[in-house]
Amino acid sequence: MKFLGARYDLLLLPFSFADFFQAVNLMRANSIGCALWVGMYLHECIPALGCKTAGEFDALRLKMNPFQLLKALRAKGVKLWHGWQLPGWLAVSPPRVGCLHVVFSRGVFIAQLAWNSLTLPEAATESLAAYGNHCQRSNGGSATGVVLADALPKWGLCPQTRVDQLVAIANKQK
Amino acid sequence: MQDGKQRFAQLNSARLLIKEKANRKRSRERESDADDARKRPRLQLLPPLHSQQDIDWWRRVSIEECKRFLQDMFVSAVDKEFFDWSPDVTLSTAPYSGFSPLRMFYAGDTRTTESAKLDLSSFQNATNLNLAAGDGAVLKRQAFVEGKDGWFVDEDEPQRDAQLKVAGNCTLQLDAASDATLKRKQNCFLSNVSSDCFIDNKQFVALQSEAAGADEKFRAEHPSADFVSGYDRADFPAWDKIETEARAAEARVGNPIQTRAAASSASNSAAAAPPSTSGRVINFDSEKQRVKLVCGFGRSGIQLYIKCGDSYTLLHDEISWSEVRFAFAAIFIR
Repeated sequence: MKFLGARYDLLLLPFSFADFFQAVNLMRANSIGCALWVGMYLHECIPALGCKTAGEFDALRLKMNPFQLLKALRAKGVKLWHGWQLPGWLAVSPPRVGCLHVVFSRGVFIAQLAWNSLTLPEAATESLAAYGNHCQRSNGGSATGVVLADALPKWGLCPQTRVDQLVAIANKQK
Repeated sequence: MQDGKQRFAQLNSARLLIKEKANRKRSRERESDADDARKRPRLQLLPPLHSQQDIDWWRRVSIEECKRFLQDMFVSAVDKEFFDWSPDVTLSTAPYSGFSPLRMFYAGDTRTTESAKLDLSSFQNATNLNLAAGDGAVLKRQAFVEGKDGWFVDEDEPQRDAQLKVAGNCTLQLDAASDATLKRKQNCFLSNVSSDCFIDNKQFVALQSEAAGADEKFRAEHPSADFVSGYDRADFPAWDKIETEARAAEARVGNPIQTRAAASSASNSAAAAPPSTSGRVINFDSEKQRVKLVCGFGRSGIQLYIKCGDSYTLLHDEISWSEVRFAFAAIFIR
């Protein structure tokens, strides 16, 4: 069984990233599971949470758990799109419009190749190195698994965790 | 006048002194950076995170179950009617001709079909072919096919019955009477060509690494779909060179196909070495990024590394050719 190079997996939880230009994200074909992508426009999100700049919004969203963020945005009437990413599928954000994505994945060996136009060399190496157990939240070439790795031990999640347990745990998180 | 000259000399020497100090500081910093770089591991390896028990558990979970879980989670945590009002951009369910902040594309490396056959006729001259099928719980059957002559089974997972067989003319046939729910996707390496096979609920899915034909088929099946073919050769002049180098190097390295057991045992050592020792073949340097994607053909198949400075980071092990292609295309898109 190979572990190297496979991004984590396990239960959900989310990694969100904002991209101001085109981003592509491929879920590797030999992943087991799927991901739910929720996409929205940044120009709607930023004023919805009372922010003036993207940076301000970014700082704010990192303080919230993804459920809180989406609920808050929904309450303010921000339109949310969703899409299912299966193994072998690309999730792409259109260029030059400014999008925010929140990704929930469930499965094992979910491995993603991601690249966006803000990916810097340093971010790429950092995020790719983030197969390890640290949290990488910069807007790098990373994708889902990174925060998972961080969240798992902290949240005490396991594959058999039920939806209600998970939601209860997640709602306690900031 | 004399005073002025002296004053000027004093100031000049002070300025030179400051400059020299700054130079010394910069030099020390450079040395320190170099020390850091030496201390940094050249390749970062990770211990396995999951127990075998967990992995087995996941293999019994279908994609549909995963989707249902996420749906339930979302409904209970965010909005009960989320999936009613939120547009679904997934290709099969939503026309999203208008603007949307998210799009889903089929990456062009898997194909679903009603056919239960994988036509291997184009691989007749191959010397080795690795086909693998799983049943969701364990990797149930794995066949290594040698040309047209027949096949044998991976020794650590013996085939339990003859449901998976190679018929004449190199056609791999899945017995319709099989009770296995086959849904695992494995890579299919063929000599210097990588191809993917996907078996989903008794439907065989084949992918030719020459994606052009498959892409055309997909476009015909989904005329309204946007489609990313991965790369456009005309837009990616370096591709021919990369491909030629890759194939030549792969031929030099030898056939990457081996038994699963051997691959497992070799994986750590193969990954631990920088790609220069496991057959570095592709070295595409994006001038803008100063990052190199490096493709190694090691004992366990194709590995993709990213190189920044002197350090290599293993990006993916056992990557398929189409995924390598994607990775390079992704850089090019940027």
